[in-house]
Amino acid sequence: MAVINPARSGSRLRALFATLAAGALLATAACGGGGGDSSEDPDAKVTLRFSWWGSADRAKSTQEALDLFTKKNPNITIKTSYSAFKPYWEKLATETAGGNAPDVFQMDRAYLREYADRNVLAELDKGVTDQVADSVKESGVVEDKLYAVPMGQTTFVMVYDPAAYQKAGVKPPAKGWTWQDYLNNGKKLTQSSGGKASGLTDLGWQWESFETYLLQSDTQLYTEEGKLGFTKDDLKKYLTMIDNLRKQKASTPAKVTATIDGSIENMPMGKRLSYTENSWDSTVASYYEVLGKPVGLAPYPTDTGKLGAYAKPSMFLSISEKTKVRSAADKLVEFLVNDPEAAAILGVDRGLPPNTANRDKVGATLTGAQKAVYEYEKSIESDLVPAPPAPPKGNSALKDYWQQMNEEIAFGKLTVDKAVDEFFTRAEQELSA
Amino acid sequence: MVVATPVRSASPAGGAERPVRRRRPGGGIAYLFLSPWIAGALLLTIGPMVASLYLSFTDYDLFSSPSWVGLENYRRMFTEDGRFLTSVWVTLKYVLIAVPLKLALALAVALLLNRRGTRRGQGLYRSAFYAPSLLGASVSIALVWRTLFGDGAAFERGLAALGWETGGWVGQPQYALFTLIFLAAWQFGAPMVIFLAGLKQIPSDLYDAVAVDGAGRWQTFRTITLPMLSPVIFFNLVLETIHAFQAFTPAYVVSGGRGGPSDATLFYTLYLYQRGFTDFRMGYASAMAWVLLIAIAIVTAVIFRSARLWVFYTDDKGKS
Repeated sequence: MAVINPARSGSRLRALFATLAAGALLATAACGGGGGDSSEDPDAKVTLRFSWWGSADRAKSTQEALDLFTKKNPNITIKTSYSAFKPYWEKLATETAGGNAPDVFQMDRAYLREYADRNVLAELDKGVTDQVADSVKESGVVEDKLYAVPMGQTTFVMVYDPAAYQKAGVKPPAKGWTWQDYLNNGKKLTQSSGGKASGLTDLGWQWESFETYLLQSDTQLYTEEGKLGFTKDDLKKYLTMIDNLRKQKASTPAKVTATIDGSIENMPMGKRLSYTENSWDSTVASYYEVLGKPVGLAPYPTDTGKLGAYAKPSMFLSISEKTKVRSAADKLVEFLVNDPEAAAILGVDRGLPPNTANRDKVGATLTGAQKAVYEYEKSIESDLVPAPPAPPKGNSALKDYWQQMNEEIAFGKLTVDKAVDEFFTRAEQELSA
Repeated sequence: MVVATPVRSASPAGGAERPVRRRRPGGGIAYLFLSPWIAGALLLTIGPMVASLYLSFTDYDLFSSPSWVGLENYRRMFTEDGRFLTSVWVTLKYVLIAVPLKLALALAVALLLNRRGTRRGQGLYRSAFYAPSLLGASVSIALVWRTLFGDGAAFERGLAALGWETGGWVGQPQYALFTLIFLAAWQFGAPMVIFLAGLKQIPSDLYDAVAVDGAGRWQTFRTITLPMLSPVIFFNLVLETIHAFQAFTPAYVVSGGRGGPSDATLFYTLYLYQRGFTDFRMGYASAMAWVLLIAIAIVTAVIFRSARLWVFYTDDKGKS
């Protein structure tokens, strides 16, 4: 009686193919068709694909606005898909490479150059931004061509839990607080929670927060040529400060910071492990929702009197270079950016409406989280500096690397000095190609 | 329509005496049936593989057309990229710990389920042990584990009750990989079922013979069960090793796609994915894929070579 011996026959083949499968990762990029056909019949029945990122609360208002659009344009059917920020970009990259990008999609400042420089975005008519606020009007322009229209205006904000501040007997943060105040508040809040939570969310995880810090002393993240705009000393000073906040137990410990994935419910504050957190004001509504109560808003602390905040387009709309339904796509972009009814439906879920005529109208009707955001924006309007040019290609890799580097320092696997050197080496590699 | 009486066929080739041409087995008809698979293999596996080999020598960034850079990607990988080496190390650790653990568990449970004497509910137990594997590489299970092993979650509270304060495994570099290793080991169903089949094949007269010789349990296991089962162990070892090298989903989900904390779960495949889809360096990612392919091929070859030393076949001449 022989034992079955699978190893003799089939498994060799199987092993071979399992191994082969390891190498098979890439589907060859199917070449899509050319650009849109210019001789489109504007009333023909067309289907348009629209992709965006965001949370469920944003989905409701978006769908409502789209329904209004299709009611006004009965010949256009819209297929939407939305997901969280990170998966959204992975999916979009794959679709774009495969030659079937959505016709209209949300674009982010961090990725604008990555896409525009690779010629996958359609050039848009500048007329669509005529009524867009000056603070963000030019933000979607790359080398004098408009590739993306701002869909909203947002800016950095520190979100805090007023109840925790009251309990710890700490004065809530407000314009004019310093980095020293930031440290002191953090320490007191951590103590008053009895070690259950931290006063501050570790600021070091976020690449853009470093930019805010730099802007407070008029330093840019990138030069015009797309190289790093700061020195090793700048970086060392910042990382030392961040590390000190952790060491003094003012900010979240490494194991909490390490689980940040970008969604509000997984942020330390969303998990009720922190009382002060850096974010964009377009996310404030999500904080209200996750925490089930209002949060306070304040600008970043500063030692120079400058807030370092700029009007950031919370997101753009872009059209694919390869779209077959260009005129419908243009219509949709125009509608979402400038239509007063659409603005009323969308509210400030994506930050302030980009169109200034709509902005004040919408502002007058807001309540709750949306009202708080609107008032915060108004309160710092005069402090906003113009948005720096969109970051160069390679920025998305650096953004990821930054977060990982911060974790290594937090876990004590990397010293600040070494981190500085490694970061500059990495930046050299990523920004050169 | 069935006709009961034999009718002379009216075929033009007609002679009733003429023998029917026998098809050689494995002729054209076999290829006809194989054709869907062949087409799939060519289009979905071989084609993209060749493409990725070409791309691995270019700076392809997903959108623009690739330009040739020779061995630059490979050079950079081994000389400049610290995270690449980290990912190799993490993957090796995972393979070396998870595979033996999973196989040992599978074998232990298979032995339990194979105990002689009728037991009620054997089928139920078998299904129950197999269930986690059915859930396979599913995202939902990884999510559950992420929650279970999180800070302040069930697993940690259990340990704390036993007096071991760890502070959650998912968020800490020294433990994070073990959540994934446990997850892999927990899904031991597939090798278990194969072990079980192997155990059923072992002739019972061998067991009777050693029982007469007065062998104890351990001796029986060592001298009969293990050698007789060695081909099956070998088979499982090869498959599980290849799978472990390619593990991706659990690491992706548990670390939120980042391979954190502090790169403790940065599997090779995960880093490859990041390079390709978040850093837009698809040429580099393709080069990584080929390095992985070659590495798996070498490891598999080594296992095959070693088989001569420890795999025992009953029909082998001159052994036993």
